Amino acid sequence: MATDRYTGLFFILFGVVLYAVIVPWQAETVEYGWLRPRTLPRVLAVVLVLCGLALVWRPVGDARPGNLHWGRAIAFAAVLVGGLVLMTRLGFVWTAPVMALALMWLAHERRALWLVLGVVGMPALIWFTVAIMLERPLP
Amino acid sequence: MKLMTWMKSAATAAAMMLAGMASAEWAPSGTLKLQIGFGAGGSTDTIGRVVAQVMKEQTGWNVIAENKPGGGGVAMFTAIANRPADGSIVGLGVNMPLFVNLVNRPEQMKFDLDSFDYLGTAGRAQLALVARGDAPFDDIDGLIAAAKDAGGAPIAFGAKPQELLMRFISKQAGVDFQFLSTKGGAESSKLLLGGQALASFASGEHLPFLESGDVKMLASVNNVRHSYAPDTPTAIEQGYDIYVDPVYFFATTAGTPDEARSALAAALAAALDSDEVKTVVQNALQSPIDNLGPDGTAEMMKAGLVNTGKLFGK
Amino acid sequence: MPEIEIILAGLGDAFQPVTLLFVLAGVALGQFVGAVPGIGPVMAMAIAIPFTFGMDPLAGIGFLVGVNKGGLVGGAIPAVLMNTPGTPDAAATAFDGYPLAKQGKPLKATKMALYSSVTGDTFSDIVLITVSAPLAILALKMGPVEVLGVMLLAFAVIAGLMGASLIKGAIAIALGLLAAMVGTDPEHATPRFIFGNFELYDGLPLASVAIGMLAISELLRRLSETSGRPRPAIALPRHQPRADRSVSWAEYWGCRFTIARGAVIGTILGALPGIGSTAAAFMSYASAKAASKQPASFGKGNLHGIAATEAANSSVMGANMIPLLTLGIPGSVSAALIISAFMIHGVQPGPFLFEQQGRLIYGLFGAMIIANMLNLLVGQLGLRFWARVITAPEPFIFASALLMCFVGVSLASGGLFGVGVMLVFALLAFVMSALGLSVVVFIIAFFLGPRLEISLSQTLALLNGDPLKLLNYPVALVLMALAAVTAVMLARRRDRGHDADENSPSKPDA
Repeated sequence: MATDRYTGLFFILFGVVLYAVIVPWQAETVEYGWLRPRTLPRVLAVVLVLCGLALVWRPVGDARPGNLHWGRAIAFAAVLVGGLVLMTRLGFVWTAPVMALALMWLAHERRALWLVLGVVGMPALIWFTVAIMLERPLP
Repeated sequence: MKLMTWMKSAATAAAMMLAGMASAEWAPSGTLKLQIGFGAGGSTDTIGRVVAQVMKEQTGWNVIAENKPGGGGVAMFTAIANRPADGSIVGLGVNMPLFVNLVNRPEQMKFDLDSFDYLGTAGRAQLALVARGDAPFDDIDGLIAAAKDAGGAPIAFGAKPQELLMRFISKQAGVDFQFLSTKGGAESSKLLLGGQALASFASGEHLPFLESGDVKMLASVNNVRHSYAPDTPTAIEQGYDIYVDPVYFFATTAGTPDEARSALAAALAAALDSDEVKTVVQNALQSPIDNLGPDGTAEMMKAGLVNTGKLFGK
Repeated sequence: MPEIEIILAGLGDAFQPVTLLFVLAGVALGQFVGAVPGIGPVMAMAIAIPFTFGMDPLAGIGFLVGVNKGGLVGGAIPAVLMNTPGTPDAAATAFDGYPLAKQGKPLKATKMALYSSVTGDTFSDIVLITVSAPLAILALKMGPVEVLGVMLLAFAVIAGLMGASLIKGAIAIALGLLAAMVGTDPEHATPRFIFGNFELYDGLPLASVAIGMLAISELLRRLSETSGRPRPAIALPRHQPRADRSVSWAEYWGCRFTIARGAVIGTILGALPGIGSTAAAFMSYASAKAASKQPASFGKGNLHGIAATEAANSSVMGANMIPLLTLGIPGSVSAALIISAFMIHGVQPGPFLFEQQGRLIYGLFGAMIIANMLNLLVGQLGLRFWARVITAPEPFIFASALLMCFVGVSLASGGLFGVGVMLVFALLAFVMSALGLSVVVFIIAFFLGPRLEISLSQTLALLNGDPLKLLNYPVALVLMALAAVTAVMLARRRDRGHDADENSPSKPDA
């Protein structure tokens, strides 16, 4: 219940900010035509505010944030974001094995055979297929 | 058949020698990336890939085609403008999206026309104003008269410059049009054939219908007449001093060393002159190869930007 | 209709060993690549096009059609086996396919997907071959106002899948539409919500959003639940009864109405350019659920759920060829790719296509039917292969899938920027599902949003400020009335009891 109320409050705030700040900042004005660039986004902002109000007034109560393993999920997400940053600098060939190792290790894989398959085998297979067979650039 | 194959390989060999001579002093140090300002699968992608393939065969350089979609080439050219001028990346894009953004939001753009060294063009999209075959008019003035009688006329367009061209005409002629924005030439054609639009813009989609008589061409809205319809005058010739001329062009970062620039331009020119590229480009664009060369491309870009400013009334 | 000799010659060409070989290669490639997480059928076609440059027209186009049809089957595989769909359509397949796989019946689920997909595909191919010309004329009559009516109806029907709360469903739709507005606005082509990134000028990359929200967020959740000794991603019982490994004729026949309904919905929506398979898949799923005597079993492994989705989204593709061949108008991204393949080979679709290229077209029709047969054959082998692969340990499967999503999305969206977008939307989906907001509804709204806004713009321009002009569009009025009735009915049913919707597929693990 409380989660839904906070969610409702968030969408009220988001709707207002969207209407008053983001739309004027990120959508241009046009002097003619039927459907202006700002029309629909503002309609949606109003819808979000109304839905937020409804949620605060009558929370649905089906939110279950406690069912998720947030700590571990954040750890894995961090590996992905780190992998992306690394890939931008070093490229796929150097990053993929590191990323695969981090992911598999965090997921409690310790068997050497599977680790080798995931860390060396799979990146090599992807590299061969994309860069050599399809002649497409890898990231 | 044998003879044809032999002649083809002889021609390729000759082209390779020419390209080889041109690039004798210069070759890319690693791979040469031919970036394509659109996603995989479209007409620009097709042109880029076949050019890259033929260039690779002709020059022996390691040419790789790569898609860099976003804003019809704006994203790609932003990156190209702001990188070292070492001649290792060539961009293929269409001029109109660049013009539209340079005219309307120059302060947001991280490049201008001087940020690039131009290498050549692949050809143009031949853009036509078309109406249904049974329409009681044959040219722009006829369309205007019909619209005046009916108190308006729905016009389908697939890109902003086309709408602005019609607004220019509607202002000059004092007539009202209703503008139906579509996702492109195919959807515009659908609205025209379905009778929801009185006129629409098409760049090649209409050719089979022109042949069958289901569609008639009112004008070329490029600054030249079309290769397949030499008798249909342009909008300029019909008294409306405006045009939209989408051109597929190649460019690299400004300040690229002279020998690299001329080697790249020569290699491109040789590829564009090959039969394979000619066929694929003709098929993909419904328009022949028209390479303006480095200087011609630069001039085309300057004139095009001025004309686009006029379209937007700036 | 060309002469019989031309038809026979065309069909004969389709049976040439070279053509057969390329169609087979296409189907196999499509099924395989379509099944790789993060790539999917459309990307498989885009990559395959340059390979057809040098082929002769029928072999090249047959190859692409094979890739396309194989991809439709392949796309369902990761959705069913790992609950990581790469497209919104496949998300509807996952609703019932994944629960079945989790019960240890991955082969049964994927085979049902294969059979209903091929059935739907064959149905729409037959419609294409026999009555495409009159259907195309009908499709032309469906202008912007009518398309707006179809879109509203689709939204109303899909609202039935929204989950327990109308309010949360509305929030998910609003957020999805908002995401669809990133890019240029349809009427004036001004940039919206791009925050200075011209990579966003054409909108958020579809692949990034779909794969991020549907696949990556699911992989994150599953990875976060791993503990102790790694388990296989799907555990297969050692001695599995045959009934759990295959689909019996009785089970298939039991789904005949569901498949037929899906095939008809898919064919109708496919013949109308621009609406696409997402609406068809979900409308078919929703109507199968509505027609079922046990609606509560949907989302828990009901074969009808798989059959409805796969029959509908596969039949869209054959029907997409109707406006494509007769009018040169592509109805979807994959259809646009097929047009560019035609054009590369110097064939331009249009009114004279059957007269000028009759032999090629009937060759293509032959190739399409052959491809459907090959899909069944290749599928028998391929599905077994994937069902083996998925018994590998979770850490290996998930890490490999994530790498493939990185590569696939960067190929589809032109670089790592798209991968960044993918991660952002993965996190968004993770938070949304924690708050009870339906990710699937968000995705549907995101995919249908651009067409909704542009149809609205076109409709307003046609009406020119006069609502009474709507009376000139009776078909659109009927569609809009249907949409309103559907919405009211669904709202009422929701009021009567929340229990019927308890199993709604809005939750990731329904």
